[in-house]
Amino acid sequence: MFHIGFVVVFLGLGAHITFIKGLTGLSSHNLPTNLIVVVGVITLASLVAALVRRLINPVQRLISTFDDYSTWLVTVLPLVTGLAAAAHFGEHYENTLAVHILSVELFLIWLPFSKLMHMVLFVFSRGMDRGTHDTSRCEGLRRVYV
Amino acid sequence: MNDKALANTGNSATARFDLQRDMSDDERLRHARQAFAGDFDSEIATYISACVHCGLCAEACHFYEVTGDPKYTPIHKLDPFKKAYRREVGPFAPIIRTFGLVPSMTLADLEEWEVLIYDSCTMCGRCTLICPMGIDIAELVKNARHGMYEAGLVPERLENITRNAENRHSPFGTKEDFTKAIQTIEKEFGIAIPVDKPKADILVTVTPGDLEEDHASVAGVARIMEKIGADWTYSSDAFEATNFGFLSGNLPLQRDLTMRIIDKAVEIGASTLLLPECGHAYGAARWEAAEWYGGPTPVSVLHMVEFLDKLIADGQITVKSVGGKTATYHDPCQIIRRGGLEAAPHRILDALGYDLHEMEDHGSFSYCCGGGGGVLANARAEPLRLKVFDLKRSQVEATGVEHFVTSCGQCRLSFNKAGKTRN
Repeated sequence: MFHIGFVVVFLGLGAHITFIKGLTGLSSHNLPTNLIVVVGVITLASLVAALVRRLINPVQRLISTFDDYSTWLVTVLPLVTGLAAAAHFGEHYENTLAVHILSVELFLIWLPFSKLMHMVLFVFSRGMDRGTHDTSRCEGLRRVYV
Repeated sequence: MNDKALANTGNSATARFDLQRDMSDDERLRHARQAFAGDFDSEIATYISACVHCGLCAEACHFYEVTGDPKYTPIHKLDPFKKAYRREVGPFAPIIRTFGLVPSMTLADLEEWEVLIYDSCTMCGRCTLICPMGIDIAELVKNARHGMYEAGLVPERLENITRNAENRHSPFGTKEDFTKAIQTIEKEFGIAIPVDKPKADILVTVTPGDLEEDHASVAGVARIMEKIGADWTYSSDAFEATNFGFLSGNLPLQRDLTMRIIDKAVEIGASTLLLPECGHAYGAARWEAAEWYGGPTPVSVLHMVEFLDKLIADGQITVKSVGGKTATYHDPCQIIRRGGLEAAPHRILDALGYDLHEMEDHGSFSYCCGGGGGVLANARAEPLRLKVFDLKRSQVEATGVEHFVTSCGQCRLSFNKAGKTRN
């Protein structure tokens, strides 16, 4: 749920598109800002639900580590500050926006040291289930063709 | 066993574990750490780092499903292994050690986890299949067992059988015991069974269960071989298909047992190494032999079901139809989910004319019988194993069929044993 929300909010908001265009020259149409705010709130709600589940589900509580909670916070901050900026919360819009940008930077710094790496590693992890096992017939997938 | 182990083999409700070999606690811990570290490679690093602690594997695990106890969450069974990785070799290991961010693995951890790693995991891989990150948890448990074995922390019954495989050739017995058993079967069924032919095209292997109780399956193989005019033999030097090194975590033994049958097949010029209906034997030989051999094996390793399927397809044998009797097929985890051999048994059942009624969870999602991965051999695990078996039993009974069919010797033993206790 929040995975989809992040993609929509990140790629759909006009301000984000302007920012990406400035960096890479790539551009696309934007979604209405009001819709983005709704999606952002839903995303935030699902992240809160994910945290609540982590806290009350006995299995998840048992296997959770510091990483799970710190990463949750680092993930939630850009969303909260972004929504605040969109709502022009606070006296100076520039300050709110600066806090938003800083929170994204924190997210990017935290990424390689945490479970956020799953966004890269899942490709390799899933890929390894196939391939490495059958060196005798090079079929890759554990599937017997007879 | 030392005093500490004896103190723990009673009915104590808390930590219950077995210890082997005389070692100080420090030595045990060091051995476990070294073996864990020896297993850590890029594959394990990726698996451990990719876990997002979502807990979905719990619901895939029959041990969790029947108990509802979070300690049976598959990834939790690997906690000491993961800790060792993070502290010793992970990318941030020096920082983690300096600041003590991950507590050091203790012997008490390993003793507590012995039950989780051996008694409550059949390495059936249902968790592997469900994991959204594709982490092969079953394989990681097998890796963790290497360290447990080195630390002398293996369930006593499993270790005893493993020692028999090491010292007497097979859990069944010595070469002489094998020769005697074959002679008994020859007399019993009035057939001739070739043993130790110097050259043969097919080397056939067997499980202890077949030699002990299920003589009809050995005789059946001999009759089929005779019918198709195969050039085949058993070898008293390499008759054992099961691999208790694979199950107990004794890695050198696993290599020796695999290489023993592969080398023998090469020596007699065989093109095919035929495995009996045994699940983990299939995993060990079919999917891991090339690793020990160091390249593609020169003989093709076939499960009995694959072999029969081929014979039926080629018209070399014909089977009598049972005329639409109802049956259900239990998919053995090592052969179907982790072995990929799903189509062949279904074609054979078709050829036999069975009216197949699948269970609620079948194919790759089938629940394990609860006896695989050395759990059936591990006597102290029985109460838990029977609980897990009941899950399977309820699914079998729900199909309401006349016949129950499976293609794994260990599953069959597990069903037979549980059947005796439960009915």
